[in-house]
Amino acid sequence: MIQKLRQRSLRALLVAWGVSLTAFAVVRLVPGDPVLTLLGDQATPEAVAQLRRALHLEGPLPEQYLAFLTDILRGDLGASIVTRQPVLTTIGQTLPVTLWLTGLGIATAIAIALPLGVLGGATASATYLRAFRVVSSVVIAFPVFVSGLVLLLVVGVQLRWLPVAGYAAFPDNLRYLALPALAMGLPNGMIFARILQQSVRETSREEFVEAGIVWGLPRRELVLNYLVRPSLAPTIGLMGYVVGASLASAVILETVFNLPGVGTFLVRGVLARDYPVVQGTLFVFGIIVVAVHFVADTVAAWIDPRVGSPL
Amino acid sequence: MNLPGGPLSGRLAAWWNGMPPRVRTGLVIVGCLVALSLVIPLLSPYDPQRGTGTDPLSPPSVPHLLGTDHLGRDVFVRTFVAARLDLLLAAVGVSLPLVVGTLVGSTIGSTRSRLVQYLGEVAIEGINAFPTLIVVIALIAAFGPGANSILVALFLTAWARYAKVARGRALTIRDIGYLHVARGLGYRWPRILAVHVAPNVFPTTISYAVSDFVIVILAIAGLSFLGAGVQPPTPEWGAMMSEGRLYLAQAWWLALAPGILLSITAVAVSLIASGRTEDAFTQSAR
Repeated sequence: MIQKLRQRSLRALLVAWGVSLTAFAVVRLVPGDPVLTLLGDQATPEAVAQLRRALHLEGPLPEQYLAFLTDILRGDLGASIVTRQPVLTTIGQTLPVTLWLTGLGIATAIAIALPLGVLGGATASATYLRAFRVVSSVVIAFPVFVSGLVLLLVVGVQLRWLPVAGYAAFPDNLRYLALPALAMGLPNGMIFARILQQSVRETSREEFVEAGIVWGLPRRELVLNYLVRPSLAPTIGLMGYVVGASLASAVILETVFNLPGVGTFLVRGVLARDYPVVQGTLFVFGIIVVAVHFVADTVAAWIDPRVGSPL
Repeated sequence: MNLPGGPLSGRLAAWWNGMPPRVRTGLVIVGCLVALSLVIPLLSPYDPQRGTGTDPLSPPSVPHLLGTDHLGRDVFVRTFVAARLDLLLAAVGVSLPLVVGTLVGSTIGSTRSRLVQYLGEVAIEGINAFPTLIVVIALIAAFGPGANSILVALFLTAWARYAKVARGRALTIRDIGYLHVARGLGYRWPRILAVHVAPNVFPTTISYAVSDFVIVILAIAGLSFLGAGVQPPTPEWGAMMSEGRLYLAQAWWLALAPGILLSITAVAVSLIASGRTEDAFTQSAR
């Protein structure tokens, strides 16, 4: 167990290092000189030198990377070229919105997946399974920004049940987040439901389930502890991937619903070529994904000790 | 019904009948979309780029089946001109990484050099660890917005998905006799790769490419929707939705017409892709 944990931490650290390399690479991939691209060729030498220093573009590449890494580890993500605000401050203001949205989206997905997964895993009806397969294919392929716009149009604009744009502090923020969280949760819920259905079906063939039936365990206990719990590991192992996908759809959904989250911040940074903003948000996104992968793998191993160990 | 080996029409019919209904549905929808996107711009009296003289933001009517946009342009013809661009960009966006990723993955999966195996695995896993859309957005920050940037950025991330699939497939054939024979005969690496490994790997990656098409077309439209891809006034589904979003309350058809066509495309292609796993799935259900 401890050894597995050490291996997983090592891999997480390695990927985190990869994240820093990717964030570092973005500015270096700019064709030509990024500083001149930003400032134009009329810029004063002082301004050029200052920006070059701010973007860690001085000296040979390894030296640049070292300077970049020390700053990041010190918690200094630089300042936005457009607003002059420290990137970390703005991320601190916008991240809660994105985390709320992603958290609610995942909660929605789980609320959809649990009943569907258990039902699909326990049923013998081929018609239900075929119908679920088609419906889930449709829902998974449906683009979140189209479903988001449809929800916005029907619930927000036509029915006027929920606000169409803006944000407020908790608990009012739930009214702003309900629609984007639903748009985000639907496809992920279907992905979870498929995996859960498959593993519930596999679990139901296990001898311990048969033994539970023979012992005459109460139905609730049988379903929750003998059927669902041993089936959760693959779903939780998938959580890392789903959170990554949810963060990616958060980037689009925040624009659809005008939410002041990190995604909106990132997109604005990209369009304005605000490199410190892009670097900083990319790094934070990447670290979150790595951390979630790590936690998901660890929890999956804890729930089902068979994961990752030879049987 | 003719069995395989009969006349071409018979073999086609057998192939068609042998497919699950949902795959046939998907193929019919995609076929119709392609045909309509080719024909409608030719038949339509309107220029997709110019105002038609009708009032801006008019609702759907007989001369303008999907109404007009904020500049008085015909939404119907624009949506189908956009279909050409989106399908073409997605096809290019899928085929380049398909070829490169398959060759790289086949190499990594069938080589006997530990170093190549290890480095390849690290590169593939490293790139696949990130959510595609976020990496692509970051790359667009470097290259600047535009269709070409999107294709390059998609390529830089997508090849690793194909390489992963290809590597897995190549590993299963690595130790089969004929590869040993080919090596023993002293054939050079490119020949072994091209003649013995890749032909066995391509069927697997091509079938993966069908589901990857959905990821790619949604990324292209999604990025254009964010303003990072194809720019207005070029008719493209994501860019049209981005423009139409501003008029959602007055003229919902602006954003929804391209959105629904995009969704139909994505769903139809994923129906085709889902056919591969259908048989195993329903069998295990019984």
